[in-house]
Parts: sequence; structure tokens; C-alpha cells
Amino acid sequence: MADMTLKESYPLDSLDTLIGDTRLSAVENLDIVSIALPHTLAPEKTTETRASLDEKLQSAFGLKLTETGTRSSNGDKHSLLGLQPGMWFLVTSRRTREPARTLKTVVRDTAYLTDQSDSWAILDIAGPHAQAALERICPVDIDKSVFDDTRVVRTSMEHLSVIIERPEPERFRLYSPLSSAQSFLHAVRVSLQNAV
Amino acid sequence: MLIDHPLLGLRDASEFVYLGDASLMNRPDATAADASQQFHDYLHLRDNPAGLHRELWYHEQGDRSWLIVTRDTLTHEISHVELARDVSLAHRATDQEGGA
Repeated sequence: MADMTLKESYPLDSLDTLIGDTRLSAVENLDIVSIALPHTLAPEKTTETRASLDEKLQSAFGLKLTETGTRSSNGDKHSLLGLQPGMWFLVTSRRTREPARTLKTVVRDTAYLTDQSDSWAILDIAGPHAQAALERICPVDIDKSVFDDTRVVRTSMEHLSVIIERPEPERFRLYSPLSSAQSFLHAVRVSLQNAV
Repeated sequence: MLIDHPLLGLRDASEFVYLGDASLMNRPDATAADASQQFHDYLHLRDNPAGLHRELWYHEQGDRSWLIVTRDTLTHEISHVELARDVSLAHRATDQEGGA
């Protein structure tokens, strides 16, 4: 039998490039788990479950459940992104084998979990022209005065679905579906080339 | 056109998908004696107002909320935006009070 080993490969192929003075780099070491609150027809039951989930996440990670459109973070390790009513992404800065199974021991039966780590192409764009480059393709106002490290937005850029956050004043992080990773990279790269 | 999302603020209309008249939320009772006629009307008959119109929009490229947008069909001016879920829950509460 042939001696073969499976090796991970990434759609953005560990991209790390400077365009002018702004850096465009692929992020390939994150665990992403979606956390969804079970919907019921009884609003008070949902409120109760949410409170219990909030307590568990605070005690495990020090992260409070955020409102839709906002994020919380405990430094570089974990971020909680409020993407839609009753749904969050927990983003962890490392790759583990079964992140949803691990998180299940924390949240227990208060939420549905889905491992999304292999579903997203993630790009960091950092530098003085990052905002200008994104403003050309992003329909949301990302000016510093209204879009800081407490905000997260799911929107579209060049017709591709994108989640955008701003962990640092001059660094944005973009998540777009893995299946269109190269088209997404092309859109961001061309916009940055036009902006510098 | 910008839609003032109740949770997220002003968002571009390109992020949304339009469904139609908000009365689509009021599905007829399938057990009613005239259910057939009610479903015919529900499926096929629409008002076509020149003026204020309550309509369903889905925030597909955003937070996946269904909204009820009140829009003037003559000017595209949007005068009111609500979460469809809130409207539905309010209707249910009213129905329960009425039935109690």
C-alpha cells in the first residue's frame, strides 16, 4: 500500500502580501463555531435559555452574549460575533480537532452548535489604506466613528457575502464563503490596488 | 434606497430581498368553511396602492431578519420599519387576549 498522508490545504494558500503600505494576509488558524439559540413560540422560554447560555459563556470565556451587529472579545483568544437575532459565531484563535464537540461541554443544551471552521475564507487587511480599499466595495459605513472594535457586520461586497469586523483601528478581518474564496480575494485585492 | 433596520440602522436595499405585501403573514385558517375561497384570495389578490404600502423584506445579505417596511410606492420614501417577528408576536398576544 502506498505510503500517503493527508495534508491540509487552504483556498487562499497562505497569502501574505503588501500592496503599497497595506498588508493583505490569509488567516488560516481559527476555529469558528456557530451558536444558535433554539427558537420557540414562547418568548419567555427563549429569554430564559438565552440567560443560561450567557452565563455559561461568561463563566467559560469571560464573553457576554452580544446584540446583533456587535462583538465582544477577550483579547486575541476568543471573539463572539452577534450576526443575527439568536445566532453568534465563537471564533477561537487556534485549530482544534472538533471545536463544536468541545464547546458542547460548555453550552450543554442551551444552544445548537455547528462547526464552521472549514466554511470560510478569512482575510486580514491592515494598514493605512485598508479602510479606503473597503469603502469602495462595502455598502456599510465603516468609518472609525461608527465602526470600531465593538461592531461586526454581515453584508455583501461585489455580490459576495462577507462578515466584516475591525479588531484594531487599522486592521479589518473579512470572512467570506470558502467556495468563492478566490473571487473574493480578487475583489479585495483589486480594490486595494485602486486605493493605494 | 436605504432601509432603517430596527436592529442595525441604515442598510443598503441591495442587501435585502423583496417578498411583497405584508398581508402574506396572515395565512388563512385551513379549517374554515370557506377556506378554498380564502386561500384563492390570499394567493392571487393583491392591493396595488399608489401610496403607503406595508411590505415584507428579507435581510438576506445581513442578519436574516424579516422586516415589515412601510414604503410610499410613489416616492419610495420609507416611513416605518418593524421586525416581522415583533409584529407576529404582538398579533399572537392580541389573539390570545381576544380568545381568553
